[in-house]
Amino acid sequence: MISPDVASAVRVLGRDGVLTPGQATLLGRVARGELVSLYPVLQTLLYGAVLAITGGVALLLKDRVADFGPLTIALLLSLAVLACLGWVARAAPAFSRGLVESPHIAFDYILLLGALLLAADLAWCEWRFTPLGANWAWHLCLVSVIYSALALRFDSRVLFVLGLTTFAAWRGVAVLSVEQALFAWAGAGPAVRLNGIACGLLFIAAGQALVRRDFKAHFEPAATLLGWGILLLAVAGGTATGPDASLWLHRGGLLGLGLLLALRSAAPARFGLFVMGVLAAYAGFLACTLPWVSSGAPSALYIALSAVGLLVLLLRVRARRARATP
Amino acid sequence: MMAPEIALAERRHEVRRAARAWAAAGFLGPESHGAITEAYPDDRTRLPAGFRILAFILTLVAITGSFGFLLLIGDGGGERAVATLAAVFAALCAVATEMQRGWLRRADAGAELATALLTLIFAALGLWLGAGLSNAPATISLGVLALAGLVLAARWGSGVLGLLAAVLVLVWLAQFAAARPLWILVGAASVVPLLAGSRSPALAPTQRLGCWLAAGTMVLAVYLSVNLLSLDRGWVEDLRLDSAVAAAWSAPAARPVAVAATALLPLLLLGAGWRRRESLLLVAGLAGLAASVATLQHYRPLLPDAYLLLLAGLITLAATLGCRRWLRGGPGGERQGWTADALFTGGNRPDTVRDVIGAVVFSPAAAAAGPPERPGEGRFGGGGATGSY
Repeated sequence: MISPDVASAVRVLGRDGVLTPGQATLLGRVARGELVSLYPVLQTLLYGAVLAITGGVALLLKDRVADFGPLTIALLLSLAVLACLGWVARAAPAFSRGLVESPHIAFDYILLLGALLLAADLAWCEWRFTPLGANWAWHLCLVSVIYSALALRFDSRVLFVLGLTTFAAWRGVAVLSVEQALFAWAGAGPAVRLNGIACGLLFIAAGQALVRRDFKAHFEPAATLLGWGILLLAVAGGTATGPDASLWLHRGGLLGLGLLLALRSAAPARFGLFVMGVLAAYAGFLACTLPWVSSGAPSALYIALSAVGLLVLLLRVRARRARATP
Repeated sequence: MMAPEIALAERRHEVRRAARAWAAAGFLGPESHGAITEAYPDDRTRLPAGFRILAFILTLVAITGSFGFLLLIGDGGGERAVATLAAVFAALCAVATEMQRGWLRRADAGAELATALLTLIFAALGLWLGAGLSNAPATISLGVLALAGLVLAARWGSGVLGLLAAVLVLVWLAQFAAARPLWILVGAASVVPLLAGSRSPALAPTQRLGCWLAAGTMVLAVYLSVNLLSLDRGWVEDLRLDSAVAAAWSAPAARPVAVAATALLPLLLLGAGWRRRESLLLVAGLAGLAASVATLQHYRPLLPDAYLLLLAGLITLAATLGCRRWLRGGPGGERQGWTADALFTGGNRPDTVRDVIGAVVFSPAAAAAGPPERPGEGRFGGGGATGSY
């Protein structure tokens, strides 16, 4: 953070005794750009390395099978997974129900690499040797469970989110392939939406359970954000087409769920959920009321005026809250 | 060019924000933090992140909805009417931005950024349609727009506007027959002054941020101009809007120069970034290095793509960890002013930071801060600020 203003302020604060000489010296160096952290660059490089290796493995599986043969590739991948996860297991601190600080800058990245390679290995084995047969989609569920288990053991929020998204992907893939007959009564679109709604509710409930049991409670915001995101997207997906009753159910549902989310997430730390809730409620409101407004110019005016109305309402809420906070 | 009271408010806010980060990292006690907050008061109306994002989106929706309504009741009205309406909206948005930033004393409130961006967007629409009506070449309308972007970025000092202004200048230059040499010349000539601007006490913090982002854009433009694949594919020339302009610029020595520059520019950027302790140049050098390896692979494949990616990933991993170990091995966990550790977060602090944090416990109670501006010392100035309030 190079800032001449901060450097100048540090000098004054040091002189006035607000900062100790040690503090003033260090903060002044940072503000003047005489001490610069390479930490974000190193993190980006590590992430880039993981992406490059994973991309290389994907291309290897796609184009270079003939170089080694399928079994050798599976074994080589397993060895790489063992190397990564073995190092992680050795470096990891003891398990804790709370937040655990990473023991090494590369810890999270090697863990992510090991998990991604393990998923690639499983996908390769499933595709090449078909151990699950017709139930092949279950391997995504297995990957999701492995990601989540690794995330909980080694305290990785990235892997936890990957585990949840893989679970949602499993439901989507399964509904459209091996479980088609099971959801034939609903049709493909509604079946995917129903599964999306169920996934969203499950993730929100999982987040709540983590907090209630004080078990990796810091994972809760990720689970809740992802859960609400999937839930609202699934409901919004049904607001455009379908039978009248279903359309109005989805539009009303979007408005109601959006309002509920906005009201429940008023704390400043939950601003992502608050934004999501207000926008979903506004979209639901427009979807419910626009059909009664003539299309063309009146619709444009209605959208503009409703946006102004919502903006004024939000600013009033904010002002009232600011007055209430000492 | 920025109003003095706004520049001063930005400077104070910058100090308050830095103090908040130091306190959050456990680097300052609550008393010292309180003393700094008191010494640098904030007279602007700011919104928390959630409200700010919503205010930005809703302002965009409201204004574009109004524009759409007026267009639709006039049934389009022809290009001249749309151009006039866009010009009127640009002027109204500019006035709204000035009012919010000045009279209403708003900052970080979302709506003022939305009206600032819409000023530029409506101006672009008005100029584009106006130029089409008068058969003026694209260089004139884009030149005016680029100039408007620069003026607005200087006046309102937003990072986004600085970035947009740099992009508009590049798009304008791309309209000329010698677009590529112009990108190289203007880009290379502007990087050093822009980087100097990003550290200049004469500019307000958001103006500095704008300079920094514009410098990054110019570095990217220079690399894109000299890259061999970009030269062969004519990526810069593809940005021309006017097909009447002559075909791609070419010179006999262009290819050999591009080959050498593709190889050398990333290394030059890395060296300059390291020496100047400028992480922007360092990151640009690393990204350029990856792009140059990809370019080499495109023309002269070294290895199959799968193996090259695996090798590149492993080398990056090893080099990153090696670099970190080397930096941490230096006195106080730093070398030549670089540290591998995060400076003001919970973990991975270098020894120097840890020592000072340890000393905070034993430090005396914070004294009340004196006035932040004293003649000749710690005085805010430049960017139009008077230094008095």
